[in-house]
Amino acid sequence: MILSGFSFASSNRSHQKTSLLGCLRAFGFAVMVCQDVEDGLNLLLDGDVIAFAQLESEIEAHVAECSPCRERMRRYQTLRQVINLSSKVGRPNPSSSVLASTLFQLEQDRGRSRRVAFLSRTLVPLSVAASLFLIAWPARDRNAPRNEVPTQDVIEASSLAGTERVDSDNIFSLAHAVTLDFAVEKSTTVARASRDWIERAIQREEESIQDETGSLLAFQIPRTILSDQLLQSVGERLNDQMTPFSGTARQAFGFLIVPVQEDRNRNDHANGS
Amino acid sequence: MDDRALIETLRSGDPQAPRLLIERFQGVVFGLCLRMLGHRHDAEDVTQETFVRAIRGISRFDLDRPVRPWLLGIAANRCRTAMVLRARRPSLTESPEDRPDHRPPLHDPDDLAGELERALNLLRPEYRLVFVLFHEQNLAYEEIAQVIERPIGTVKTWLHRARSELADHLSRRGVHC
Repeated sequence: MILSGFSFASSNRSHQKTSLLGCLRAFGFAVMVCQDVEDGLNLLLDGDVIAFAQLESEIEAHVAECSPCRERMRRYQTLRQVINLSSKVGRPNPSSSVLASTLFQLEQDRGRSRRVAFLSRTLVPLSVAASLFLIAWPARDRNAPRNEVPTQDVIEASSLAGTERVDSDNIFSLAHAVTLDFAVEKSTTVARASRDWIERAIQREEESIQDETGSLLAFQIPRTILSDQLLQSVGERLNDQMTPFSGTARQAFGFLIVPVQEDRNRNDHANGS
Repeated sequence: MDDRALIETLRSGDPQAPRLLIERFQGVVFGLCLRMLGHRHDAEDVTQETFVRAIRGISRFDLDRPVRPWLLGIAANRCRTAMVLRARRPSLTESPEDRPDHRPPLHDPDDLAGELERALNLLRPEYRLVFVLFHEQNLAYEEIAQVIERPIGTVKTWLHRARSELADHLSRRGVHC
């Protein structure tokens, strides 16, 4: 049989079977023209043609008297056989490193998500609370007698003694998390949201200032741990750490270092005069 | 575990589920990527990218859809992007069209797969994609239309053109079966 090259394994594309009636209608129950042959050859390559024998005989009748279509049919038969033979070569597999590197990348994604979630749930509120002290404490005590502030540019945390040094490190870690990690992760959107949150908290703090026992800030961090020296240590270290980052991030979180800068300017002015 | 159960396991956060998904479908995805990109290393990169994107977006996957066409759709999109990026990069590698064919006519029947690969590389990417999805990935016209986001009529037209060009090319190469 001329069209024997079109034999193929049955596929699972049963829902696109072409009915005998459809095939015959497609060819108008008339003698095939050359374009019909090409369409018929494609139907055979599609597979699952119910009217396989009928279609074959239609095409055979045409190619028996049409040399160009006979050549076209021969080419399609070759293509069919090449497809069949190459499918027996087997499916290529990627190297084993693909699985390992994909799992590694997914694990990194999960770690990043966990870190962001952790920051959102825990560190940000704590950092915000710590930040509030950096702002609120000097502002509240502006008229009160201040501790003597050393004149060197940066107060090393190590120069703080005992509990103060631990407090300084803790507050710095929290503030560092929000200023650096979170700014890098989420940039200005979260920074602005955090600042809004802080501003609202300050407002509440000011409203509740008459009632010392109900203080939001006092609830989150005992304010007794803070001293000017400790604040300056935290502020200076934050300033150093934020330097490499963008102006936007620095501006968004700039409020963290403002009180200390003001203190320093005030001290510089006092020393100069 | 069937595909649907695997996706549900993946959604539940089972740490073993990503490995199962990749092991089950990496051959399918890699096969398409290799056909589309022609380079093993590039195909592996895009395979990895496909799974990372699929798993990241697993919560948005419609459980009523079959998994394989969904993954192949992601892979096809990533291949398209990779080809665009590659076209922008200066390369010392000749394209198949630019490379003169000095090989003798085919006599080795074992190289039929190589002949098909060479012929496929000469096709337009969209023709190649449709041909591979139909003949190698065994997707139906409807599924291919969803994967490439084109009407079924376009899929048929591209597939017929792909076959015609492949048949002509194999004939010019002297491939007879």
